[in-house]
Amino acid sequence: MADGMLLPRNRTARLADVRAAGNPVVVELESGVGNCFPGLEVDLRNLDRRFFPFVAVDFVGAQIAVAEVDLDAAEQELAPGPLLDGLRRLATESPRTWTVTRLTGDFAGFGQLSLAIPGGLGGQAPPDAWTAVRLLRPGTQVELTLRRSGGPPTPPLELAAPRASYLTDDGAFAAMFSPGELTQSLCSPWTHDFRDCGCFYWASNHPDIVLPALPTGVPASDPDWAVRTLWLRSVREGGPPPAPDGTHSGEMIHHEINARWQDLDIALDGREQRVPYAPTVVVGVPLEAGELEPALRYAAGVELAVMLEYLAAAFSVDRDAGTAGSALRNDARAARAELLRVAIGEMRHLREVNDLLFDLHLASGSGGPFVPALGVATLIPEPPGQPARPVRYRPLTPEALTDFIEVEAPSQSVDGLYLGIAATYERDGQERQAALVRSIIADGADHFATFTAIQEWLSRHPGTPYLRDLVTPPASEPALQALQQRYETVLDLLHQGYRAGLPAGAANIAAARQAMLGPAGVEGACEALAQRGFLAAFAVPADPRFAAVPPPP
Amino acid sequence: MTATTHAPAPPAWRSFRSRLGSHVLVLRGSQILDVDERMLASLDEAALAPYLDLGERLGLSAVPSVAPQNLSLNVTSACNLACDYCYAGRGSFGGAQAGAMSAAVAERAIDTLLAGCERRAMATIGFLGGEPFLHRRLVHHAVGYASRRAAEVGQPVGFSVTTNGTMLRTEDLDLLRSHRFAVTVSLDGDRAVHDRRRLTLAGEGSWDDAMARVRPLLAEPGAAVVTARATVTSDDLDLARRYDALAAEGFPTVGFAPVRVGFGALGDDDWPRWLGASVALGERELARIRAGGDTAFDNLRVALRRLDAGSSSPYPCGAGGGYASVSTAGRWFACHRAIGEEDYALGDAAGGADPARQRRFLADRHVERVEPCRSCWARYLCSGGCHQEAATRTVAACDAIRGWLEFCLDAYCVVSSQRPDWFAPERSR
Repeated sequence: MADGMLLPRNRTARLADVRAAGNPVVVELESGVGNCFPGLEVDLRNLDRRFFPFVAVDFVGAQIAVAEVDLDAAEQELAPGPLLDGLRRLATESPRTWTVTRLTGDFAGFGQLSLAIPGGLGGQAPPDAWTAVRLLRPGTQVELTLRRSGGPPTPPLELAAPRASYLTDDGAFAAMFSPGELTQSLCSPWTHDFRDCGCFYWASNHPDIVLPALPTGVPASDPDWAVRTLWLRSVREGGPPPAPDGTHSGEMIHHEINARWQDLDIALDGREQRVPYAPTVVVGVPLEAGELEPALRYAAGVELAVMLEYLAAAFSVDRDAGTAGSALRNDARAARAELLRVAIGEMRHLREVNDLLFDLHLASGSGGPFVPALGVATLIPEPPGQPARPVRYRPLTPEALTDFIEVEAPSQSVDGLYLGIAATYERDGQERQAALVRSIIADGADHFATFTAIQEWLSRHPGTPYLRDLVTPPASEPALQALQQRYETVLDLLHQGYRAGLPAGAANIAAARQAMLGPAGVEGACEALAQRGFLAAFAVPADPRFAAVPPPP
Repeated sequence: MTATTHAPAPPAWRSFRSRLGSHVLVLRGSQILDVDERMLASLDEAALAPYLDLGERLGLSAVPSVAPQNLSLNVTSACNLACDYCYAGRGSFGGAQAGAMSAAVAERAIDTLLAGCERRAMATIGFLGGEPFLHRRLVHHAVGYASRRAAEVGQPVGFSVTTNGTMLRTEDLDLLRSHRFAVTVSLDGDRAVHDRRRLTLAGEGSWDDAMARVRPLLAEPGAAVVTARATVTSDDLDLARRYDALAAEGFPTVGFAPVRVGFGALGDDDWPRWLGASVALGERELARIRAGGDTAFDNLRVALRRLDAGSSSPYPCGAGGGYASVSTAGRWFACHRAIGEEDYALGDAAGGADPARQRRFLADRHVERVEPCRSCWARYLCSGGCHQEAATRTVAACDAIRGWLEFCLDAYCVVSSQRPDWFAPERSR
């Protein structure tokens, strides 16, 4: 093992260094909470601490209290005059005893006003002191009246200067801010805030409910330790912790948090972790030459197949189950809407996979027309070790839902297919295509989470009262034939649109979308079938352009 | 060279010394690290793991597929000068291109570029010749057309031109000032040096004529950025004299390129002298930076900034990838120096770049597949040098490049310690 000092000097080396041994992934900029919850990188109130040149204030309740005066900078930058004289007086007479009692300036939206602080706000004025300061236009003249609190009475101090801007002309934070100044009042784990603030009000999120850390030797499947419990619970050792009762009972109280915040566990994958955590990393294996196109064509077929399965299942859910406003009706409607949303996601994937195939076609330089991939897959992949299953049009039974969850489970079945495709593009330096495939994989994670949520909602209603009573229709059923005809119309329009590419094919793709929606579309045909007591089902078209696609060998 | 059946894996890093101490250059990502003596003695892959890992993640071994983002238009084959070292053979490229570009050809090339390029990055359209301003009407037309079309599709666009300066008129200066133009003026040094090689067709020197027309642009550049570029022949390697003359004229940057092919080309005996002259000028300018000033020596400026950014590439330029050059007839080539050469052609007479041809071009020239470059420590910095000059690669020429890079690595460590502000992006020259 090497020993000694190694320090990065240029920008790439510094970039690598944030991932150096010991540094967690959260030190990277893209892990910043502001990417998910804009505004949480800093306490926005601090941006206005230095609204008056050379003075920093704190917004304390309804008051504006002076925190410090940068007299050195003022001496250097200001010509002799009343402002410099006033700042000298403020700096020498215990600056922290002064508060702003009157604020005069141009308040955006309210115009020129003179406000008494505190009080005198609201109505035709800004609602509070911080908002008032925030509304002062940069560069416009601001006048302050300051008074000392406590001590012997002294005459008030009047200061006037242009309102300072917190950004430079380049959009960076102004140099007047000290390191740490913008974040200094954010919630911190060693304060009471950890108990009192909503769980998102954090520079880093904390969970409310977790699975407890497993004692040595206890498997994760042990039902005693599979109980969701309070993360802030006071009793952290002993037997399995109880499930939360919907109140804060058993949580650490404020003083306890100050003393014991470091006892709170890190939670990963929803479970508290007390031993070194090894994430499951699934790596895609790049495909060999000639394997990419068949893999993409099969992937398109799987997207089409699961989309049809989801459609059939969505129309099996009874929008009118239960009574108006009942939990049953709400859950049924939410399940149906989410299932349709996921089906629409698969339609988008079908398009994206065809875009990738179009790129391949262009790169091959073969010259012939592009052949879109619109054949449904013969088999849907299952998790590793299980045989692929045939396409089945079923109501949204608990068994069907379990199958859907398996299809969308991260790093399994369909994901496994795409991991290899992504790895192939990454190997070949085709970053745009690789990014597209990664976004499809990420959507799969969203679909998985959605189906898991649907499972939770529907499991509250034993006996599947949310399902319509539907059976598989006979081939002679006219409503089924109407559905099949509309489905093939959509495929035909997509085929024309994909083949022409963009922009030439845009009109056909838009027409295909229209043909899916409304009473005259696929949507209407599915609903008509359901009203006649039948499940939606889709036959493989006789048209060879839409022949079923087997998995690649 | 001896053939080996099993080439050893090329080194992934190299240690070097600067006047500040010991360092490591991790080749992928050109990552520069300070290392103390204890660490240096035991340096291994484990210690460098995060840096080697970052290098791997850059994907430098892959052959990229990118649509052209930068295009040069060879607007005319005609030139009013007859410089004896010109690669373009006075713009005719040895007969491979004749005549001048038509407005229709320029518009088609611009349309094709705008249809395929990346919207988030700037696209540039360059004008080359011959002397581009001999075909002034087309240059003005193409700038107007490209600006209009780019605005319609929301594409940021810039322009560049390489000119000998002698044909510039007031209306040309207005054009350059009113657009984002990178203007490279081919000037070799002071009047005596310049007029030795850059002669008019009548055999007269061109310095006075060029400078009379360029000085107003230097005084009032508007949106244009003006660079002097000196072509250096083996008979006069006094770079400092050339530099001083051009810097005194007020050029904010002055760059040098040695002739490597044909008349005046540097030979094996000349390369050590070239290196010596470059480093001598570099040292002088480095002292200027250390003292709080700045330099116009473009070869040094570019090298320091690239080292600071950690630039590394398996290709020396965008040829065949992000860059293409269009002949007067409208055919797309990988490089403006290879107009008419079939193995540089990116498409057929209809114009445009065929991705399959681009890919083949780039696959053949990836620095990791080129001998002897693939095992050289400077491979992602030099990237093998100009494709057109590959045949002139000799040990002496490569040693000069490595020597220059060693100087620049040393200079980088000094400037980054003593003048970190010099690298600030908003810095004006």
